[in-house]
Formats: sequence, C-alpha cells, structure tokens
Amino acid sequence: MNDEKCSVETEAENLYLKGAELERNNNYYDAIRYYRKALQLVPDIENKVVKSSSFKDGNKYIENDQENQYTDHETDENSDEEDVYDGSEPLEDRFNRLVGKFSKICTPNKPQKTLHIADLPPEVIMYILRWVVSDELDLRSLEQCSLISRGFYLCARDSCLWKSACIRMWKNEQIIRSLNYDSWRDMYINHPRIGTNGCYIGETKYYRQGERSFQDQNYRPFHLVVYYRYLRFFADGTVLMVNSTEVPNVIVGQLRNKSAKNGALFRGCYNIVDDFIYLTFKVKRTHQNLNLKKKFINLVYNMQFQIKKYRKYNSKLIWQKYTWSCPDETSYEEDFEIQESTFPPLKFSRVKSYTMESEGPLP
Amino acid sequence: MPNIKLQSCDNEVFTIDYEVAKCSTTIKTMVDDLGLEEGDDEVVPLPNVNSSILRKVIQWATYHKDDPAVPEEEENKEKRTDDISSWDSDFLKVDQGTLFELILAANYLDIKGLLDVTCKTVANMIKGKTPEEIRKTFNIKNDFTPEEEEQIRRENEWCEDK
Repeated sequence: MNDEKCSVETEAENLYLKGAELERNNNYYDAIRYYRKALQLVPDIENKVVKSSSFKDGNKYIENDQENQYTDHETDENSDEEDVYDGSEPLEDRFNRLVGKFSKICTPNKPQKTLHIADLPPEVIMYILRWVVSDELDLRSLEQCSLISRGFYLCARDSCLWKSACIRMWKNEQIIRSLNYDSWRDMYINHPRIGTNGCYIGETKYYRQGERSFQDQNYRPFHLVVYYRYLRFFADGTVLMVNSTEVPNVIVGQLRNKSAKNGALFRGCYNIVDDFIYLTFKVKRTHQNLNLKKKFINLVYNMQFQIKKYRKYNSKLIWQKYTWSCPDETSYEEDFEIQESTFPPLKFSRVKSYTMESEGPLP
Repeated sequence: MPNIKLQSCDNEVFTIDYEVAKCSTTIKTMVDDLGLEEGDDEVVPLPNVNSSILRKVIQWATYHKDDPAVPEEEENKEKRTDDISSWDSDFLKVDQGTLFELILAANYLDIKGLLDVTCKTVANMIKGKTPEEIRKTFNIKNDFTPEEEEQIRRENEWCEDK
C-alpha cells in the first residue's frame, strides 16, 4: 500500500515538475495540463514538491535528492572563502547574493536527526521574529538575531518588521511617511522616540534643615534628601510614574507590567510629537474639607519633555513644562516652576527583565 | 455531536469531535468543501502530520475548544491568558524537534492559537540571549566571516548600553 502511494506521488511530482518547466518556457497551456494531472493524483502536490526542497523558487531544478542540498552548500562555502568581505558592499546585498541560492535561514552546526529551526518555512520564521520584537518593541533582541547567521540577518533587517515598529512607536503613519530617512530601520534608530525596554530615572537631591539642639545653638544639622522620579513607557501609549525615595533596584522591577501595583504609582498616557513627549496623568485624590467630610477630587497633571540624545541614542528627557489642574472646580492651570535642581533630566536605563518574555507579537 | 475522522500521514485514523477539529481552519475548509455531513464515513487525510504530533494537536485543541475566538476586555484577558499559559507551558515541555513539528502542524492546519503559543515559546528562547547563546540553543552554524560580524556589530551599536 505504502509503495503504491509512493509511486503515485513520484509520478505526480514528475508531472508537476514537467509543468513547472513548461511554465518557465512560457508554455502555459501545456503547463496547466501537467499541473492538472499532477493534482488529480495528489491534491497537495505543490506543497510536497516545495517542501522536498528539490524545487526552488522556480529558478533551478536540482535533482530530486535531498542530499544535493548539502553538497550544493559545501561548494558554495568554498567559493565563499575567496569572496572576502571588503566592506564596500551593503551586507544585505551581499547576503542576498550568497544566501539566496539556498533558501534555508541557517544550517545546523552539528548533524541533527530531529527537526531543525531551519526546517521552518520563512513566513513562520518571520512570525517568530514578530514575537521576539513583541508588542513592546524589543528591537534590541531583533538586532541580536541579525548576528546569528546570514539568513537571520536578512530576516532581521526585513523592512516590514521595522515599518511595523515605526508605526507602533509613532502611531501616525501619515506623519512618519513625510519624514526623510533612508529606511524604516534608519528612522527607528534616529528619530526621537521613547525607550520601552527600560525605565527613565531622574534623581533629585535637596537639603532639609534638621532639628536644632536646644542647648547647642552652633549645631545645625541638615539632612540630604534624595528621591527619584521613575517613568516607565509602554508601546501602547501607557506610562507609569512613581516618585519615591527608594533606590532604582527596588522600584524598577515593580514597573515591569502595566498592571503594576504600587501605592505611589500614577498611571497615565503619552503622546510623541517631533522631539517632544506629552504625558497626562489623571489622579483621584481624597480631600477633607473643614467639616471633616471626605470627598474625591480629580486632578490632572500634564508634563512635557524634550527627547534628547544622550550617549548616542534617544535616552534623555528634559523637562519643558509641568502643570496641574482640577478640572471639576476650575479651568485654571497651575504651573510648576521648572528648575534644573528640582526637576533634573531623566535618563534611560535598560531593564533586562522587561524584555525577558513576549506577551504578544508585533502588530 | 458529530464526529470526524482524521488520518495522519502514517495512516492512523483518529475519530474526534467535529467541534474540536474545527479549530483547524484547514480541516474546517476541507469539510465545508467536501460537504461532509453527519453520519458520513469519510476520512480526512492529513498527509503532512504524523500520528504522534496529531495526537498532541488534538490534545491541545480539546483543551482549548471553548476559548473565545475574539480576545475579551483587557482586564479579563490578562487573567485568562495567565490561566491558559500555565497549562500550555506544561503542554509545551517537549524537545525542540517536537516543538518545531508542532509549529509546522499548526501552520499547515491553520490553528492560530497553537501557532501563537508555539512561536511565542521559540521567541522566548531567543529573547535576552546573545547571538552565540542563540546559536548554541538551536544548534546553528556561524556562517559569518569575522569581517562581516564586525560590520554587523557596528550597525547594531545603537542599541548597546555602552
């Protein structure tokens, strides 16, 4: 039974390949006849032929033998050694030229009997990379993938991924299309943006006068107070803010998820326009009036920062404006006075735990 | 409930609830195209899936047959996925070869949920690792020349911490 099945399959495959050859010679009419015959024997012959990898992109028909692929690779490697990289050709072109011949993304280092990652079809590899980047824009991990192998380099540089990342970062496709960058990747790297794989931290120090001793008038203690402002941005437009005297080691871990719980935590949203970022936090506060009656009031805090380059990448937030208002009571907005000493810039630190796990694929 | 018969490439026949099989868009389309009806003794051939993988796929589909097709509200969703992922992570404690076979099966059978959870598993094996660690994890040969590697490192410099 099995043998019979095999021979039918071989026949179908031969018919299919004959059809493909005719198609290449622009003999479409006869090609269709062969394809039809093949399909009658084995309905999904196309899949089978493509999977058996003896048939590549309709370019070249190597003999129906899996082994050939390896020999093909070997010779390619030899010719490769003469082809030393001198830095003049873009790597993408070079790898397309070298890798394009055999469709696999990489090759096993040691022989392996079970399925290898290279056995996955290209569209699945691309989908996995979307999970690697994730909806939280972990482009750093994608860049790591570009260093795995030549095939992975080509996938990791695929402009579809970078375009999706740009759209998720800046939301408005219309605006970003008008910008002049060499590529989507170039734009992602060089246009002012926000880091989602870490935390922005500003450290404020001030001195507070301590209790004076009653007896010794010359003793004037001062306390140095240090507190931190933490901003954690998510790619969906959510921002978390914490003001705390606790050191970064304690706080950053708590800000890993959007659903983070911390008594002093503010949850808000942000919006990037050019090199400015606007944050809005709406906060409910209990307020006790003179009759000792408690009531809730809504406060709105608005902040504006400029995104500045710091150590090569967009990683510093400079205070521009900070206002608060109480929209239920008055339309009046009050400004905080921005001074470098009380509102120092916030600097970005990458936090590894934020990108350990992917929750969703890059949309 | 009507049942449906699926045949793996190694000729094992599985009789399962059609409600379970329907999570595969491929099977659903096949059944619709063939016009199978209750009581039909037709067998649906799945020439790309072997019996051990098909058994696992059916196990997954049976557990997930009542999952909502569209994700619910943000808050509910978070709870739900947590719950599901603990079962899934046990389910996916398999060797790499099997994981890749499951991906191929999910891709061929067009089962979005299974493809998502398997691809996510592979992605999490990649995330946070250095290229060398990734190559080691998946037994991948480094086919770069030193010059090429150096050039890529320069291109990727923007995301390094230093």
